[in-house]
Amino acid sequence: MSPEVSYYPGCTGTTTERAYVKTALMVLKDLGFEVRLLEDLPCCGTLEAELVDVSITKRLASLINREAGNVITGCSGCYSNIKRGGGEATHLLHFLVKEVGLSEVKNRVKRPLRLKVAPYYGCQALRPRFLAIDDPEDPKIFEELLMAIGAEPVEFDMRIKCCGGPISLRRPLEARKMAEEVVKSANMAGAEVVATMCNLCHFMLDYYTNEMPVLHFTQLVALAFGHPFEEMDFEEHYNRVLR
Amino acid sequence: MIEEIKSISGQDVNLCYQCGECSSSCQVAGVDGFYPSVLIHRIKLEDPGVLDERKFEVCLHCFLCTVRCPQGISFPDVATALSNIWVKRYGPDRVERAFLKELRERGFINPVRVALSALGLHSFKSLSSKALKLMRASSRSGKVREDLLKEVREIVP
Repeated sequence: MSPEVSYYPGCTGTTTERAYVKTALMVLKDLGFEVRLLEDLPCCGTLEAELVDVSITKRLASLINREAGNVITGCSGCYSNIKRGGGEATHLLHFLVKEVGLSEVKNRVKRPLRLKVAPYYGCQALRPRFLAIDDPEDPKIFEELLMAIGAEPVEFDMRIKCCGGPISLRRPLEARKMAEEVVKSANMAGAEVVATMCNLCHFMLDYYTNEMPVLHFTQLVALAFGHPFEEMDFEEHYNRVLR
Repeated sequence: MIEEIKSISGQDVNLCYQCGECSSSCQVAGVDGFYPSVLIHRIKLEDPGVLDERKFEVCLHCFLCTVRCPQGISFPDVATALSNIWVKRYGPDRVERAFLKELRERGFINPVRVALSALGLHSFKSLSSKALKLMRASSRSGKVREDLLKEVREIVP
């Protein structure tokens, strides 16, 4: 019997970032997991609930854990909110690299990617320190995963900086500038695509910039595992992804 | 204000000795005159402008300053505490109201509905082809379980 894991998609995972959840499930299944998709659980509260009252975040985190135990999520925002609310969560990237293991991932690769990829970490899975999935300022975990699937990670200045998402509704122009800066930095470093590991980061970079394709890291892994290009739902993206 | 911040967030701003590491690490330092270290200094001076000017809302909560602070202060948590104090005094701002309404009505956040009620329709004008695609993508079929939605309504004001 295959081990069961619970996947918390996050609100955007069931609306604008469906391709992320779809490919995350593909990858988990390929690695031998039975996945329970937690679509009927409520929102983690986002930063906004915490700004209203920190106790909301705590109570929502404990509700989520009570219903589903330790959840895996690919959304760094949800991950951070649940952890900062005192709950238990595992980031998908950490799960794949540290719990499943790179050798297991490597074994499943059918089609090494041979693509220059800018691994964009963002903030919420790196800081504060108590929830960091790797070094808060000099992480390597994303690069390691990319190398395991045959891609070439590109180093770029903005990899651990903010996408602007948290202020996108109060300072939209500033937020947009920040998203543009991230993609520009990746482009200047010679990347062919940017890879994200968070629902909101992906939305910010893909929606507010026009420079290059922005992919969910799970799409890259699923491609390397041999899934066809057509199943990645790239048509949901705002920037065109060419084969 | 110092004690109230401490009781909400556990952060003791009195530990700050104004080295400025937070402000020099900050991606949004200078936006609308926002500097974390300056806000902390003004909190210590009991300056009422700290609340009234709402500069704390510029904080990204990226926690870069937090991991660099030699005194172990987490400025984003100070900003959150200030925001909580504001809400207690004046109620949630329009962005927070949009989120709370979504949470209470559906138990999850529809990003487009939130953006529309927080920013208004005009915010989508400049990116029209992308915006149309976004609107289509934001409808969701699934629902939050009824008993959990009831619980969310007890949690969220």
